[in-house]
Amino acid sequence: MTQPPVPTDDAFAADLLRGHTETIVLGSLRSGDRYGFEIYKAIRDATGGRHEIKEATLYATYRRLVKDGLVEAYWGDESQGGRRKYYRLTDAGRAVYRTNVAAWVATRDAIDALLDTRSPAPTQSSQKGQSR
Amino acid sequence: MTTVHRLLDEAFAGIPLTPEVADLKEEIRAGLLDRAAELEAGGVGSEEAARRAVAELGDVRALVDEVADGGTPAPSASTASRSTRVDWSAAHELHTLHKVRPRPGFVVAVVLASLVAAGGIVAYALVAAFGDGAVLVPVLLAVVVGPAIGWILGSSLAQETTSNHPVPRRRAVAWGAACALTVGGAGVLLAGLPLWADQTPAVWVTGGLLTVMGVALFTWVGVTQTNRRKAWARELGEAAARDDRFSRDPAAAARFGMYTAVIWVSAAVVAGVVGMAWSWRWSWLPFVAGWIAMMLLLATMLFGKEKQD
Repeated sequence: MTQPPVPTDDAFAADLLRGHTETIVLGSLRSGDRYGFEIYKAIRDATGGRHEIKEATLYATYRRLVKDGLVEAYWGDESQGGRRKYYRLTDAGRAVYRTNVAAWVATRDAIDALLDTRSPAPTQSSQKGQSR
Repeated sequence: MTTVHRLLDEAFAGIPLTPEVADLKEEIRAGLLDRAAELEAGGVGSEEAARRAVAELGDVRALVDEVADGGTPAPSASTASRSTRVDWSAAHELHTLHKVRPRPGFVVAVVLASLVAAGGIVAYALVAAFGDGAVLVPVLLAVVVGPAIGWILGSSLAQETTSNHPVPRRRAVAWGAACALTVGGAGVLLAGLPLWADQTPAVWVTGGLLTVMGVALFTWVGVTQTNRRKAWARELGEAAARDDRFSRDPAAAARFGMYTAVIWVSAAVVAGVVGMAWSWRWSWLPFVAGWIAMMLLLATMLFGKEKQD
């Protein structure tokens, strides 16, 4: 059975994204230190520019993460433009990131199964049919 | 670009510029400049770019309010850790809530490694005391003991504990390797001392090299080490820190530091005098006396009755 084209509800998708702001920020710092706007851009680019997390939300998130010790902030000194505040992932942040990703994968699989979004995949649906 | 600065000042007008708010403002400024530059590169006029960048920012007021309040309470933060005094029952509750039991396999392995290390050290001491002076045996022992202790350190760091997140695998390995190199190197180095009968320069050169490498690695991992304490433990620690007398009264802490310095300098002088005038055999006694004096001083200054000013 072919699925009808799903109209994406932007507000719903944005809400889902926002719910994972902290993990997303932690994840974007895994490859190296970044400054605030860099993280914002990375998120915007990753969603193909369709969604963004507001910068104000991100600034609040950074502060919460710093307070919880999951990232460390420092002011870099740069010649071009203004000085930028960089964020660095701590070991605690890395661990929390891993836990959150594991939780997300488990939840995603559960929701996928519940919403039956994987029905086009033949192996899984046939397997499910047998078990039922 | 002047518009960005003007609009930013407008957004922050009437808000007391505490260090936190000033920090936030500068961070936002950098972000706005970046965004405006990006828009301008896309062909938007300078004024319009600045205006759009500020408009896109979101709700600055709410953000500032949140920063001024010290942030919204994290989901795990209890009300107890917010107050200045630690509520011990709440602390205990938090502790049980976050309790992480050590993995049985890890405990068994650490006990085994400890046995190996302890056995190696005892054998090393025995060989040093009664051995025939052959260098090979202590060197071999050092090569066993070093990695055993290093493994204990590395694998312990990689464990999640009640108050600490696990250290990432590669960093834990670095810690373990540093420890193994230092301990093993020191063991080899000691075997190269003239204490042993058949000493060769190769032994102490190797030992010294290993030790230096270990210390260098220790320095590197130590300098680059970041926080791994869990949020709840940090909050609790901060609340507890605010509660002790030295944090409340830095002058008392400074006084204690000066008394301590006086005690230890006196102990060193007395030790020298005792050693020269009487016997070096008993010259360590003043240090014991100094330690006792320091501990009593600490007890009275940190936990004793508070003077009413």
